[in-house]
Amino acid sequence: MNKTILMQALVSSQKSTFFWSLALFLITFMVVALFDSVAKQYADVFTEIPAGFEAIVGQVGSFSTAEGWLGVELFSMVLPVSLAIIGIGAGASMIGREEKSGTLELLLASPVSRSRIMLEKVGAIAIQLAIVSLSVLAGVVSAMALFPFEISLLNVLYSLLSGWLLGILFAALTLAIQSVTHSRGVALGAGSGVLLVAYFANTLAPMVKDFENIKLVSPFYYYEGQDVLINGLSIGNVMVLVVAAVVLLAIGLVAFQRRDTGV
Amino acid sequence: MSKSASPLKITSLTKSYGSQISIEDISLNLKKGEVFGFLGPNGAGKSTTIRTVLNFLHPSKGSVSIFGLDSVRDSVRAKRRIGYLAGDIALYDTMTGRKLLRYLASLRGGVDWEYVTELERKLVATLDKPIHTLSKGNKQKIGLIQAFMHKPDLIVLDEPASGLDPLMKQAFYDMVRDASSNGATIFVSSHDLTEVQKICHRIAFIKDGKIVATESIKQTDKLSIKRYRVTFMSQPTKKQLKEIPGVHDVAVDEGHVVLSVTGNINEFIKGLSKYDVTDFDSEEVSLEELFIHHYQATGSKKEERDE
Repeated sequence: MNKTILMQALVSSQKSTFFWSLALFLITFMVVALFDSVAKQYADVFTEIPAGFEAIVGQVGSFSTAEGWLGVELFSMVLPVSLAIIGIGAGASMIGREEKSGTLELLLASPVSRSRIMLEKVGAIAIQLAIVSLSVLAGVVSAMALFPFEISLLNVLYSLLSGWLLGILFAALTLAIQSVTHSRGVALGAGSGVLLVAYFANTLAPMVKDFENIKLVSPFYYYEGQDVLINGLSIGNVMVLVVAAVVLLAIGLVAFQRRDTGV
Repeated sequence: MSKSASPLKITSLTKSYGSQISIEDISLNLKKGEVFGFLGPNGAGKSTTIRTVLNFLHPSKGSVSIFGLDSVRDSVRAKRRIGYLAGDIALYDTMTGRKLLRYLASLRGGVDWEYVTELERKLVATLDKPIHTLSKGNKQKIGLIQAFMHKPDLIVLDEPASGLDPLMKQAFYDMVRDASSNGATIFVSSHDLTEVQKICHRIAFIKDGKIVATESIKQTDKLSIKRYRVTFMSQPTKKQLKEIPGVHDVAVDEGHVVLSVTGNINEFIKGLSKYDVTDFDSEEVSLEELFIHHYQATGSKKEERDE
């Protein structure tokens, strides 16, 4: 089976993929490059940190290690939120943009099933997110060649895998919302809302005693990139992300197959 | 599927959205090789019917079968044999025409590219510029090519000539005639009776979501109403005007009259020439009026039967 739709989806999102990849590559490179000079200074300054600050920015106490540094500067917020944003946009637009412009009818009038259209486009999103994630790895590797920085590349890869799954989860969320509501706009809005709530459910909310366990419904809890950098992958967490993504994808698929299009 | 299966058989098709019924109890059966017109005013349900045939919309009741294949269950297999064009079809604006055709062709497992080149030449199509830079007519040419390029057995056209200049319309009619003489069946919707009369073998009329009648082309001649605005040197009486052959309605306005005429034009002209005419102009007659004029008789007959 040719992957025409998948290839076309990749081509039409190539500018976005390129700029996100470039941006994350440069940020990563810079973060790694600065470790040796900056991190040690920070470690001296931050002896007593307010819990709120730490909750949002990450465990700054571990600044002095490579994993800690990379974790706080990149994997705590910048990376997962970037991947989630890419996923939200891609998932909502996947069918949504073509349905709004009317070109979806060109596809639907062709001898391709609705599930094939959706699955090939999801494949393209997965590849796009993978490319962006791997640009971070490229940033680490190339900066390591020039600046003092020692880290387990395997753990970096595991952390990126978690981030990739997080991005896919958000894409599955917005594609499911678009499938059910027929609206790209609603999917974008709701997806962004979920992103905000989920991020804070994992960071700020646990500081309030009664809301300690709220983080368990947040995808960011199961992503925990900072932790993976230090301790390696938790299969349990990965499975939660995978299962959630698959369930949302299934909802989106069934809704898309059953509904009328273009109305 | 069996060779004798109807290219398009719509059985008691109904599409409703909650309590709103868009089309109701539509039944049509097309014969292989015919050009079948689907005629009705805007909002009558033509597009809804076509979009249900193509499974963009799912039927609420009833079914559609294409060469024996169910439009919902066997949608993908049915579409191998269908070509589709909507008058307002959206194309991938950033692609060139050629790239779009290659994309759609690869979704079909490839097409005879020599045939595409032949169509390109016939229509004088611009295939190497981005589609968003093209005029409506040039976009429509690409739309036509994608509908015909895989030589489908059933071609479904939804108001395909809307917004086209006369030259393009003629090119389109020629393509329809060629495809039909090669054995393809064509289902075309329109709100223009003259256009439909030019290319179709049979026509079905739809109004307010229901099929009003299905007739062969010859029978629709009696539907034609012509309307003329005439200024006289010295205006005849209404009674005199009604006596002119073919005139069934007279409207008197300031300084001129509007005559609604059916039947033999030559008889009408001869009758009119008895009077001195200073100005003469023709006016368009809406499809609604044609329906009302022709089918009012049918409607009242039905009421009699119900009593």
